[in-house]
Amino acid sequence: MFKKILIANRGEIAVRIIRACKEMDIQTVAVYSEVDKKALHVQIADEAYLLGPAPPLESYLNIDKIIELTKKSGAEAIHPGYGFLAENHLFSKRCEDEKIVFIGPNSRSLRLVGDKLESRTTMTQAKIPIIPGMRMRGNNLKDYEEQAEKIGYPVMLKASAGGGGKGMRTIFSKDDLKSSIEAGMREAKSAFGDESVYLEKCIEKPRHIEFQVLADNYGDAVHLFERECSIQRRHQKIIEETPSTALTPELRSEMGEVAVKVIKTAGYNNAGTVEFLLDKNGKYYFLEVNARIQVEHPVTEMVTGVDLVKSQLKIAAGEKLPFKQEQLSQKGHAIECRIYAEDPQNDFFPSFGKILFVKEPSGPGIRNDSALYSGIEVTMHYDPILAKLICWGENREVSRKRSIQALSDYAILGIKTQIDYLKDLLSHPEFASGNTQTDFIPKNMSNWKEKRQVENLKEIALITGAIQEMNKTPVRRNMIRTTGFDPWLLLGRWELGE
Amino acid sequence: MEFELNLENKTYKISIQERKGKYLIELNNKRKEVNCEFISPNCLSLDIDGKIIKVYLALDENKSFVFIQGNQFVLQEKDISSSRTRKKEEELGLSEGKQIIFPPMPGKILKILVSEGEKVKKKQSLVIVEAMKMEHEIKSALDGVIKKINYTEDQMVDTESPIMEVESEK
Repeated sequence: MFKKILIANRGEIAVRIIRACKEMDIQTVAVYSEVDKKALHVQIADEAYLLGPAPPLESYLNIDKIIELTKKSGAEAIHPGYGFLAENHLFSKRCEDEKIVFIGPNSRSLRLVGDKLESRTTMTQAKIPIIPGMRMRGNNLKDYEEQAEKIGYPVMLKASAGGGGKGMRTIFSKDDLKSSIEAGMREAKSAFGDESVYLEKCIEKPRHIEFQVLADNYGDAVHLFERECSIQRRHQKIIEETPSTALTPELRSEMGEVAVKVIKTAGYNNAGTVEFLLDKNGKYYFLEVNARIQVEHPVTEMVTGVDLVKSQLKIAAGEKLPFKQEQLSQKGHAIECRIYAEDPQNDFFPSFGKILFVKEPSGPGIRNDSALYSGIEVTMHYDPILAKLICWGENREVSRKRSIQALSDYAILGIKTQIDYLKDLLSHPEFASGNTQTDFIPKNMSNWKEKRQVENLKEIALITGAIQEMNKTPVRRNMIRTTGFDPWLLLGRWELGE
Repeated sequence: MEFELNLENKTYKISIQERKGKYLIELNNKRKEVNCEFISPNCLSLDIDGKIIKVYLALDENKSFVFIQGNQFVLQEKDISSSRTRKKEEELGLSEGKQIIFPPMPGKILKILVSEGEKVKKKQSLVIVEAMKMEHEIKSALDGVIKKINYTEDQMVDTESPIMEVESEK
């Protein structure tokens, strides 16, 4: 096993990886941008080095600097987390050339699955069902126009290098084609450094079902069942769960086998996710391979009992898979809620600023993956994900109710979050009955407004406010502006002893 | 002491007196006696009519955040909350036949899609602002002419930055 690794990421996933390393007695090296100097991953790592200014290209995407720091610190391997360099085959290749272990797939398979267009071709040859659409990028607008006509509106625009919804758009008519393609290309360029986009058929009311896969370096691969990620806002997943309410045991094992076949066809190793769309008739289409640890990996860990990050480290260090497919099973149900710094009352615009106070929920079956603490500054430079709340229960209903309760116990003061929105979503009768398709949010949540019955609580809030005001003299008010509120300052003179 | 506090677009008058460690509070024409104790700087335990309620709270420059049983409330002192908010300013601007374009959130101006003097239509995209890697288009609220552009592409802006002015066509 490795003695020391570098984590080329930030936020909750960097914290998650560092914690796994600590349990495995692996030394950790954190890297950070100028605005992340006080971030949690920097505080808990054994060593931490500055990458550069906040913009990702100068920090978390700066390959030369990351390689340099890996060598300087003596780390043997790099864990890229998700996003940033995680699916960059040039980075993976560079690691291979520099004799640094990249904790992820080999660069050749990474290049193949990262190129959505190329993998569409390869998978068709292996008789894996794919969504009808383009297999090459367009050279000009006319190409896209012709292809869109051929496929039939509405069409989906996707980034060939894409993931996480970046650059992705639904195009309903020819009028929107030009601006959508331009915006999609810009987003793809800034997020992945590659502006290739393509069009494919828009599957009506699909479910988004993905299979977690682990493959060792010796050609062995297993799947760890599905995750349903149909609850999405603007192509961003916000709630994920496992098992899916849509799969029968037969369909589950069939799709699982296809997922393993995809991974073997691609010559893929380490942890990965095979994404499918499942239409209302139970027909499934291969979408893409996410060649990284996924944001939503904890739900799989909760029901299978397998630590996916540790598995990644072991596979990268050359260990064989410790289990066979038939030894794996799902126990209970898990739901993950992604908590974002967004204001659901104002069209989900990002909300930045200092988090003045955090209190995370706890209790049986509750897991909270975050990098939050009271006083942390949320900046505009990176993804607005703040935390992931994962609740396990012996069945879906227990997991759902537990999630609602835990969200009610989650206090994040100082910036806006969509916690209330998540609570209402989980409470929706359609969600409760497992009726989750990707149009769930436009269909059921589009007119969402905060609707709470809190007249009595308002009084308590006002009383609290008045007590605070009362305790602010002009001098104290000044102090609050400069140092934050401290009730100990209100105590006045006191003495020790009798 | 009397305070005027703003909560969810409503102003409440509240009077409060401290007497022997207890607070006498008058709110909504009701009197209440409240015992309270700070458990930590961000946690207050209130005893109202024998009911113990734990409240989390935090203060920034002009707002007070209060979290009670899963619900967050934002309070503002009246003198601050009555100052012109951006929304009001926008409405004001619109009634005078012009619109001042502010970004919805702090970010970077990615693309300015119009130039000074250009005629624009209602709902036409004027500028794209990028924050947290997502693009947000800002559209015109009226048919008119771009009167003035105060910023250039790649500049950083916040919600108080008037990016441009649109004047309605007469």
